[in-house]
Amino acid sequence: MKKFTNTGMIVSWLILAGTCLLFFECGADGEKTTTIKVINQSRWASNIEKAVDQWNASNPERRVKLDQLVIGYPQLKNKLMTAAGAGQPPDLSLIDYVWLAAFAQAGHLAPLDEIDREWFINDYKKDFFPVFQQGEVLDGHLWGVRTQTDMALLWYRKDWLSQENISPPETWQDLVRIGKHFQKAQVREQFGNSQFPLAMPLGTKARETLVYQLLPLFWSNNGGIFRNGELILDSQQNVETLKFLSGLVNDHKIVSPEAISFEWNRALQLFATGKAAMAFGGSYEKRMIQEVSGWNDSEFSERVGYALIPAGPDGQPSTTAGGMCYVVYEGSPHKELAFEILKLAVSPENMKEFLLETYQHPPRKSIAETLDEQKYPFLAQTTKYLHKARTRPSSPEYSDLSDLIQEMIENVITGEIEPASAVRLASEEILSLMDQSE
Amino acid sequence: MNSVANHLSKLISRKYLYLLPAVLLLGTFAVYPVFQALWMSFTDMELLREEFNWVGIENFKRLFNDPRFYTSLKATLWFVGGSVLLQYLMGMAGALILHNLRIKSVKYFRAAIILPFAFSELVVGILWLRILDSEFGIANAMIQLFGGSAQAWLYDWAMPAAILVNVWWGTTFSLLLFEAALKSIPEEWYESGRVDGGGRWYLFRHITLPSLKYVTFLDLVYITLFTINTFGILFVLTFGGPSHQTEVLGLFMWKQAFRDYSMGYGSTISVVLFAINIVLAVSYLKLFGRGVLVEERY
Repeated sequence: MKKFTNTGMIVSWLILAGTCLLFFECGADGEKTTTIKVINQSRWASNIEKAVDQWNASNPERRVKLDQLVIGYPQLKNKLMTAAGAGQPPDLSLIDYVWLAAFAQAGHLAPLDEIDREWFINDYKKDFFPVFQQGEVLDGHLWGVRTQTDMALLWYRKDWLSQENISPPETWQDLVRIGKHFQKAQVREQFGNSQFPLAMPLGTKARETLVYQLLPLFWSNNGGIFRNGELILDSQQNVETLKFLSGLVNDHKIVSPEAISFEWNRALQLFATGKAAMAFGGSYEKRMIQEVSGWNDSEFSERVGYALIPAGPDGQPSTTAGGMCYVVYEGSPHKELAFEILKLAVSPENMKEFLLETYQHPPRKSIAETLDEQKYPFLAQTTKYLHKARTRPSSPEYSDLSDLIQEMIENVITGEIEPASAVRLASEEILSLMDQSE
Repeated sequence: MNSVANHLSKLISRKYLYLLPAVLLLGTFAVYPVFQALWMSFTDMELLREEFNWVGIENFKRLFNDPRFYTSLKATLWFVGGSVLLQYLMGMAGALILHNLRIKSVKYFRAAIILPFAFSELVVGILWLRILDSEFGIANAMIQLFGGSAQAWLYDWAMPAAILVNVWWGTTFSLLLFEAALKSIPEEWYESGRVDGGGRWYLFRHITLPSLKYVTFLDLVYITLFTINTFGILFVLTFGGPSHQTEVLGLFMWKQAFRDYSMGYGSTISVVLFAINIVLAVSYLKLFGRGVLVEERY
């Protein structure tokens, strides 16, 4: 018995020691290989892998071992926040450009222009579109480099509309008219779509995608959150937009009430499976639509049309330009090496290959100028929409602001609050947020 | 190895040496986080900001004046109340059926019932998200097959749907607990009851139920505390919507701490949740009487 209890005690201590070792991640890398920790999304993973391979091929004496954590967009922000907040950031990561200001202000990002001034002046400043530089250069420093850009779009079934002799939607009235047409029983029987022909996210479950896809609807009615630095949320145009959104669900019933619990990619799934005739989405969804539907490029161009977000009574069709950035963390012990990998990943050759593979738009002028219109019609045509694109506000408070807009939309759709009160309350909260930050 | 242990035991009293690993592990991973959360609840700590201030009871004042806290409390009450009641009743009923089932294939029934409990709550959430899907889900397909109309389950029936999913997942635990306890009741007690002329209801009321008192106490304490602290299923199914109707306290806390990154305020909610846990555990003890724990030992 004594022998048994002594052995038990030793086993307990060994378990404790093992736990401690795991907890503190004891271990060491070889001297010549440096491990670069990267947090990334799956579509970007091969871009970084290629950059690391290229680095290792040309620098055999200073090899890099890639430790890449690949996660989905909905988890990305939380992962980065908790890692940075806990003082264990990766060396390099992908980040939505709207989060850049908050991470930079908190001191988590390395100013890239200070790591390689020459690259900043001779490559970045000269070749990246100025509109993107505005969001990435803050307080005179470059905090992130845009990997691609994308835009909010209205997808519609070109083949169905053509069969029914309906022209593509350009206004809110068109949206309702087309929606009501595809709601008719005989039309539904013909095309197999659901009773809700328009798919869009309308709730907080879609998180940032909700703001990305619906902010252009506010702009398209001459509304929005800010104009020339002034808060304009509490305006008649925005009230009209919210009433229109609520009407789509509650009056016209062309959008499912369940849209408030849609995940970020639910609308595209409904569209790609033929349940919806139209869907709010992003240009980055082209490949996903093809994956879900099984359509090749020619089938896609025969069946799918795309347009700017339709115009409201007081405005013009609109869209938002988004995009993800690569950033290097201030807490990284290998900042210079991480930046070398970043530079390779966003080099014109690698970026072009990545963009053509994923159907995304170029933030580099040199790539935009050399896009073959015949070979890449979708990219070439939608790149023209970028002229009408606006960007979401880039500020350290953006996350809170985005949450408020998401809550505002969901609460109006569920009838929890009237549109006029919703914009007033959200406006007051944004003002208080801005006061606090000052 | 043994000589090393013998040598160590001479230096330190053996009983403390045996206790120390468990105390260190529990202290590090269970007790320390509780005190840290309590401390953080008195600060305005945010995840991305390094500096923070001591704000005293400001977070608690804010919480008790926050209408979302009361919406959340109401949602928690419905979710926990509905789940616990149904899990208890269905667990007990299922255990009685399985216990009295005199067929060879009972083990297959048992395996089928255990299956849901093998999934993590997020997997359960995703599975039911597909089942309740208004367009592609099997729930609406079945309803329409029998002439009914499709339902927007996660909009019109969000809370009942969430309770149903939680009960589907959690009933197994109660069932297994009760079935094990039923096996331990001596058959002679029932025989004596029958000799006295007792029917099924009489035997259940006067033999089965009193014999299950301790297990019922354990089951209710466990499923109540587990349900009040869990939010994975709701996170996947509704994310607290529509308009916070299914935003239970755990989810409210998560949103504050990990979506809005207000760690101080999030910790305040967790402290209140912890207090509610203690109040509930003590209430169960009062309800069953302190003797419930002692009776079982003898």
